[in-house]
Amino acid sequence: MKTSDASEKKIARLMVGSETQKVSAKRIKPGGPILSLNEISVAGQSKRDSLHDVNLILNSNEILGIAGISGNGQNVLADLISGLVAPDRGSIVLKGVAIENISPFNMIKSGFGRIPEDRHRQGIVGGLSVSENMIIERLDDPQIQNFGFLRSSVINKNAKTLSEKYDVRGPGIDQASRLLSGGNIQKLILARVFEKQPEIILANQPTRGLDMGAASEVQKHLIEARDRGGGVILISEDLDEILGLADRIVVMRDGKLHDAISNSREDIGLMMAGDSA
Amino acid sequence: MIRIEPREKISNSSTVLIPIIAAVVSLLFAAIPLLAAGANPFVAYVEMAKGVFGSVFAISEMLTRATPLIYTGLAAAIAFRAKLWNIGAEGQLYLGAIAAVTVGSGFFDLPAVLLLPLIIIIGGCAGAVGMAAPTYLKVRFGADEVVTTLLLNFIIIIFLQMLLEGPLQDPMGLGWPQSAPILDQGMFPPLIDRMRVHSGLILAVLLAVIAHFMIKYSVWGFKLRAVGENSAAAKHAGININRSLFGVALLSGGLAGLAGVSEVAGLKGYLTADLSPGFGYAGIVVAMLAGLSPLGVLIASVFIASVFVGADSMSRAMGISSFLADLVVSVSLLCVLVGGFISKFKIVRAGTGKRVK
Repeated sequence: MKTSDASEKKIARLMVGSETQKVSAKRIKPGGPILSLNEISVAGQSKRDSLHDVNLILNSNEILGIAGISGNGQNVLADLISGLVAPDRGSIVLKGVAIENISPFNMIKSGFGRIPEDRHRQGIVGGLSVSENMIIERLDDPQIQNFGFLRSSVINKNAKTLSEKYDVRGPGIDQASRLLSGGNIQKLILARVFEKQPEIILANQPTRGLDMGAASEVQKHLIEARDRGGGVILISEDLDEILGLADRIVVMRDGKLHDAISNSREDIGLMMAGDSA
Repeated sequence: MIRIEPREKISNSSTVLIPIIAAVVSLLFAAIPLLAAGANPFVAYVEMAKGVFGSVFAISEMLTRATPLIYTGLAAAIAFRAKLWNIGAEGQLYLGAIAAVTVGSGFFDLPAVLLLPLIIIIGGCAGAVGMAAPTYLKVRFGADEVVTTLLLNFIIIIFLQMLLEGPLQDPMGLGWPQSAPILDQGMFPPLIDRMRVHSGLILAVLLAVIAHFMIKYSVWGFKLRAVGENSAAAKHAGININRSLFGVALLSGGLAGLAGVSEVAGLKGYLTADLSPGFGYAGIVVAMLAGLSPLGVLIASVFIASVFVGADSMSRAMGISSFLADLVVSVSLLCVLVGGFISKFKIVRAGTGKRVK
């Protein structure tokens, strides 16, 4: 492109890519707020993992898309909602009640389902079997354990049922989960997360690196969760995915969130790149 | 160019076969120095076997030697499963032994049904504390437990030497640096009359079986395995990593402490600074040979004890240095490590992609 032909909008379109495949969810009317982050600040090691006065409201029956170039604080936001990072200031309010003692365990207990960005590092314990990974977030569930001992028949049955329902394919439910392909690992995580019918779902780059079949499976589950009343926070670098799925879009830049001024690719692209437009 | 790639499927038989092959290969390698020393390897091996399995006495000696190795092997295996690198079993062993003689040599005059369990519990607790301290430093300040546990061994042994020439010294001991003996009712009962093998062995085997079931079937064991395999994912899934590590640390240190209890209250009767010829370190070898499996620890302990007792016996019969035992144990460990590598990875020849200039 010649400099004389360039415009901010054209450059923005090239940066975020042109539309490739169309994913789109039927819009439905969102419900009331179920989760709010109020004035949250996290001082991380660097700019990449800090948040500054972040306010965010998530409604039921809503997919909230968080667009942004990666490295602008998305990971610390995801860690916060996963319970891995506690805010230095601000509060996380779930249905009117502030969550005390932020930890992964308490977030799971409070009804959060989390699909981590790095499925190999955070999503599964590769050395444990497929069936063990399917119940790893339910270890205190009396259906899973009896007086501190695992109920292997229940765990195996659960794994068989979920493998069929979520189409997890691999060498077997008793085999190490690291032997699964990336798409099947993600399906294993989907099975674990969605089977609990969580009210709030955090999906961080949930389709990155997946083939189209597995990716559309992920998107289908996000839409289903929204349709049955859940709130979904979708963090994605893929603007097409955000535009296709999200009911509302916010843009993350330099550890801050900004409401998207419109749903046009150019406007969002400019916001991602740092123009106030 | 060659490239190393992880194998997709690790066969189940390899986990059993590799240690066995390693043991056989290490004995074969030992034939080389035997030949160099002018001995007939076959005769030497027969002498070794006789020294281990040739009589009830021989078997008793071998099991006596295996007993502390089971405890320290379990201590290492459980800690290593959670990737908590406890190199301090030697020091924790002495802490257990110090506690055992402190409590057991007349401080409490209790009947056997009370005194022996008390000695076992206090000794185990002392070892557990010995591992809890470095684990606290690791969790709180990030201090590498390999360094802290290893160095703590030397501190504990010097502390022991001070005790043995001070407060713990036996007043009837003619000035030797040794503790007062444990009361008769505080000793592990012998298993066979006039043999050294004692009921500390039974406790060790029992603990190995319990450890196996706990790791495999309990929620606690699930968490331990998850933390060891991938602590980031375990944390994300809501497992409290620090609590798991502390549980493992207490258990690992406690088992090492029991090795000291078993040696002092099962075999020697009193404590000296040379109670353990490196059982704490040998436990690491046992755990590695066992593939970190508690039941494997039983077999590996018997193997290593057999090599040492057999080599001693052979050296007496044939006049060959019993350092051969160290060689066999070292080579078998190397074989297991190489075998473990081969079972997990494959070496592929890759074409050298030419770079275009």
